[in-house]
Amino acid sequence: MNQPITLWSNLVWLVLIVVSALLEATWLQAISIQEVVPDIVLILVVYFAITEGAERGMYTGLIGGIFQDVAANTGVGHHVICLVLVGYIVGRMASRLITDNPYVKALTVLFSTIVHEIFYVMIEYVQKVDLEAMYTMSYAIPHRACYTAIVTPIVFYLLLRIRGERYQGVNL
Amino acid sequence: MQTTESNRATITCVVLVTFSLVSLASGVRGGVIEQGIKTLVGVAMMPFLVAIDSLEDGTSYVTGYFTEYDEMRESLRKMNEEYAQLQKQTSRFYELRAENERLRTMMNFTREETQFDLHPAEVLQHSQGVLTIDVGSRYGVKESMCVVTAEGIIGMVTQVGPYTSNVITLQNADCRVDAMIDWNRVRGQVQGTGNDLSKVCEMLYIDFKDEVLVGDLVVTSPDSVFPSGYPIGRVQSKPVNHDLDKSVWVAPLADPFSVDEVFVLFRADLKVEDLAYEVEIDDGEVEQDETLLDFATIQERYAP
Repeated sequence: MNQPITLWSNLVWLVLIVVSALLEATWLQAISIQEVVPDIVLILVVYFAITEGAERGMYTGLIGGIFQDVAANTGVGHHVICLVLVGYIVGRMASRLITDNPYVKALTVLFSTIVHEIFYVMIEYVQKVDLEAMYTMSYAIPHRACYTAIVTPIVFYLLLRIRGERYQGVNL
Repeated sequence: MQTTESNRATITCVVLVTFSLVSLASGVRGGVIEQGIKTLVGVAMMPFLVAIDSLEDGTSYVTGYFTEYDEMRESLRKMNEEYAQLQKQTSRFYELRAENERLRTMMNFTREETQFDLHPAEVLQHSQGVLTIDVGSRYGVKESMCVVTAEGIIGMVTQVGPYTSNVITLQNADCRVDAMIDWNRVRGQVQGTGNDLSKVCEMLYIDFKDEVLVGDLVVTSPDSVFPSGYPIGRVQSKPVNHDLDKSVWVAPLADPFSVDEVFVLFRADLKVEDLAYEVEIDDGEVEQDETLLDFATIQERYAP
């Protein structure tokens, strides 16, 4: 399953993360449903954690998280810690899952989103005591998790197409 | 090998989580490291943001042809309507400005010519050398009264109704006005040609030996019913010799074809103060001597 790590594949990986973070901050607002936007960076973290292991998933979370922190103007580390933990957990579980099944992938992303959002809200609650944590957990998280899970097959398909065709034959 | 890789992942996770926790725990936004990271990310994002912005602009531009077509058509229709409305208003504005200028000229004329009792009138109709004006006997208009503008004479009242009057203009063949050349007092008679399409009049009965030049100002003579010295027009051609006299073509200064407002000259009397001589008394002051009143008519006064 794992493909050879080359300079080209690293470049594609980096560009994919940056573009996804930018898309999430800009164009994806256009398809928001009740102010909920699918978390593309989280899908990337899960994808790379499944296909290339926990380490790659965590680095994806690190870079994507930094971009999200800068875009959301939160303290650096807020998104990073959540995504890194998700990348680690999914990476460790990946060997035990039959990940070729699209439903499994979607369910993995669904639960990953829930875990990510719970971490996120907990950290935010520590920083802002007056936050309505229960409301956010009961309302925003299920919406966001479902929405992200729905778009997961599309994103996974695109990622497979891009990575499979772009760097398989070019071993820099 | 598998254990080493697993431990490496765990160590990486611990390091990254620690890094994040330290960053969050420091709690001071705008610190040097955080600012550095943000600057670095900002610089890295810049080309992507520019590209996305360009792509967005291009997409909006292309899709705008389809999505905004109806809106553009509606906007164009509204703009056309607005344009037509503005054209109408502009036309009205120019008309009002021209009217304002004419009325201002008339007002200045009545202020300057205090010896005349002038009554303003509006031209209702113009046909074959005859003007119809909106004042009649109810306003004190009588036959043979003179009709003038600030530029020069227009004609004479021939028919008077209660509310309107007819004025024959200089273009009418029946209109004859005794005239003279302004600078040398050469006499003649200005007469219309009767041609409704031509503004030019003819000055007849000029003596052979008198000198008349192109461009000379022609004014009313003391023999006419008009106040003496009132401008009629300018000589337009060289004299044409006839058996006993010669004649010239005269272009009237006031154009009866385009005039909208005129004055009916009710009276051309001077006030006593205007007629009194000014005499110098001992200490150099000047005062009017009412014992030396000049009772000459205005025609006598303007005549040579």
